[in-house]
Amino acid sequence: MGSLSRQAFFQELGSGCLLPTVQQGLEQVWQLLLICLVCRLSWRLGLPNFLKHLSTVVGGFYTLYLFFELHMVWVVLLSLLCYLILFLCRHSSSRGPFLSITILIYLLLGELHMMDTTTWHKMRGSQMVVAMKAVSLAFDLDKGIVDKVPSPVEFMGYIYFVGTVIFGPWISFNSYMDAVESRKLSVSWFMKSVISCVKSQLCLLISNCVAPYLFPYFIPVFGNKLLRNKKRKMRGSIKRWLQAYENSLSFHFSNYFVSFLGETTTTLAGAGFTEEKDNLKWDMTIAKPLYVEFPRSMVEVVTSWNLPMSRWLNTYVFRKALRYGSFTAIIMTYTASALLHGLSFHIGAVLLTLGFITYIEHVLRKRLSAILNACVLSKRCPSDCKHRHKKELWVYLINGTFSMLALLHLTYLGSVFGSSSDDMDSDEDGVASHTIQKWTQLSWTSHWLTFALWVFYRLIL
Amino acid sequence: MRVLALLLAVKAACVLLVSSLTGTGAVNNSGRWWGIVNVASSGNLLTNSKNVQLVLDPSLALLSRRQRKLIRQNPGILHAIAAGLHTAIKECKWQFRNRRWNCPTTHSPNVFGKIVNRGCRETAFVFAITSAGVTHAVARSCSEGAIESCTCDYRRRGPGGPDWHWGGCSDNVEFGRMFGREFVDSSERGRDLRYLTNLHNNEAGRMTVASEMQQECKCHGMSGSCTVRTCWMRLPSFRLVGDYLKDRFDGASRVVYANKGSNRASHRADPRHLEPENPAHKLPSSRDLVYFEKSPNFCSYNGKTGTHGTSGRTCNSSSPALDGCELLCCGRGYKTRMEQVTERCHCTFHWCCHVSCLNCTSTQTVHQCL
Repeated sequence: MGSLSRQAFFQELGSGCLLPTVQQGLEQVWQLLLICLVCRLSWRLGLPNFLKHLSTVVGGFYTLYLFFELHMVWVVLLSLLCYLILFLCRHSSSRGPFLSITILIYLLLGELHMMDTTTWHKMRGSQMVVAMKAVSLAFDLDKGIVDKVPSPVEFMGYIYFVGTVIFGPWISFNSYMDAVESRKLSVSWFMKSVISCVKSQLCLLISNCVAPYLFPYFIPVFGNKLLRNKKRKMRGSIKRWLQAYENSLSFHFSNYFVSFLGETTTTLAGAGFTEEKDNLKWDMTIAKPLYVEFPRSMVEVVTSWNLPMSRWLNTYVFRKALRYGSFTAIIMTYTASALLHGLSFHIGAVLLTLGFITYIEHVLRKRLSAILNACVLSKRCPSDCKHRHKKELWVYLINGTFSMLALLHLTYLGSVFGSSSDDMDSDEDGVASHTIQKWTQLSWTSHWLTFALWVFYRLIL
Repeated sequence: MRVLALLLAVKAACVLLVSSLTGTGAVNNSGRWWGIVNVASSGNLLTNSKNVQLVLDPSLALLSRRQRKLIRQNPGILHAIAAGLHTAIKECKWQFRNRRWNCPTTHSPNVFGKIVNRGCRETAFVFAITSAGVTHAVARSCSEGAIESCTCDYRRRGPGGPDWHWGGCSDNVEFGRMFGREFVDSSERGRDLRYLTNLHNNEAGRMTVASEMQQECKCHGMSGSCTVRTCWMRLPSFRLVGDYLKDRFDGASRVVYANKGSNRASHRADPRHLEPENPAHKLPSSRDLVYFEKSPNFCSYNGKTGTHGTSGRTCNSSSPALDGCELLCCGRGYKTRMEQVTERCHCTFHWCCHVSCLNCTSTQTVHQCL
């Protein structure tokens, strides 16, 4: 970009970024959307269930091929392995742990040996969804929430459900079986799909074209000073933090793009509704951007980042691990999350840091709220909570301070997900040194702050 | 009476003879195609941008047969060429606004005047910037889909080459370069030093556009994986190209026709090439500008070389640099006058929606070269 003037920049932005981004965004997903729609319409024809499962498997295979070509065999292999384990353990009541360990070994082998990292990383999103679905199914079988081992066709239909196979999210087996019953087409269903699709494209635009140029061009905090210095090596910590914020904002919106796209495909394919009596609501929500961009606490950020995923982690990891103590459970949850996301250095580092940050924030705020008898917990107080102080100014002040702290953490953590990270995936050493370099630039602020908060917590304990 | 008529006839014949002689003298069509910029701006070219059927367009008379063929084969491209030329001329004027030679253009088909028939630095710049302008505009139009024969460049999709599946549309700079080579270079004829120099400078302009491009990519997918990847080539803003070429103008190297007698072994494959005039200098790179004669001083009007001189130019009395009165007026001195300038000022915005301004008159001192 060099040093364009603001006027020239806005002239360039249209043809240089907005247009190709929209064009590519649509070009790459229209087939997926079409297949979801076709799948949904064909389910309305009243086919036998067997054919419904089969049709979504075919659709899922085709979309997998569209996105990953022949590398899709790794996903297929994983799903076959999962079914094999489920079948072999059909009389056991600890299918969950068995399957988790198998998947763990498979993922570790993949990370370390089986294939080159670039292709592996390209598909780890789909693999993550498959792994989560299989593990949840196994635990549900153990618990009796799903009463019998599904037939191969049902299982494959669940794994390759066309609405979730590429962009997620995780859905439970039962909600898939509900979707197979095929609810009738309605205006609200259609509106939900369209709105989610529009939102996803908007997020893509912001991620590509607005966030990276936020401070010099869109919000001129320092007038034209930043423009002139953009090319030179950034000096001054404020500029570094602004740049880190741009980076993390771009990363956030990339996540919202995928989330909204996931909403679109899932809804379009006919899943993701809740039913209250006779009232059918198409209300699938994956991410809550407002709760992430204006957070109350880091705990809130982590859950709002990807609701189905955090629900999964909560049900199948955190609750199961709670018997070993809450700190261990939290660390185990984040480790599981890191494993699912792929063993990149930066993801591992970020998730581990997040684990510490959220834990210390949680206990500190709990302690504070007990001492002060005020609503300063990580989660919003319910309306009938027993705290004496709810609406005082100093309560808002404390919560506001924690919000600012969360924003700082977000900026710090998001800065490692660089914008031009195309060759980052290929080289593990490069990723590690990039992460460390970024955090050194920001002088490890978040880690020091977290440590200070922990000391403070121990003092008031 | 008859004598007078005879005299007139002889005179007419002489004029014809002379003009035809000068015509043969200027047999090279160097940059004749630049003329389309004037025809284009006056004609309807800019109004109907797409699918212009330009067979009868008068601007085509300025083009060679080969160039006309290229335009017929690539519908919509003439518009891009004209737009590129406009940008290039504007940029040239901007880069040279403070120098004695300020990139003057005319409205005749011979746009840049006689400077193009010389071989000085200014000539080199004109060739390079127009070539760059065409490449830039054609590449941009490609990616916008305004040219039917080219679309997004799918070869540049990703690191995996042609079979990389996800990727995207990049500004098609390769097409721009190829087209530029075919179209722009085809107006050069001959085998001499001028020919080689002009081609080199044309190529330097195109190379600048190509090498200043940046690819920007972004991955999107669950957990930051690369499920969807959007990439595009950013063409540099043309101001950057202009800045770069101006740098190269300042550091241009003077070349001579390579003496075939020397270095025979090393240059047998390509007998025609340029060499730096000073053997101690290294060979000019493909992005350097080259020239082979000294620039005139551009101080005074000279019909033969086609320079307009600097008299009447506004100068900056306090600057010691090239735009200062001392240097710009070539020591002839300058006259100073006061000028009343009226401009809109103290504008306020009224809800909603109009802006009201006052007229402020100020006196400004203007210096003009004698």
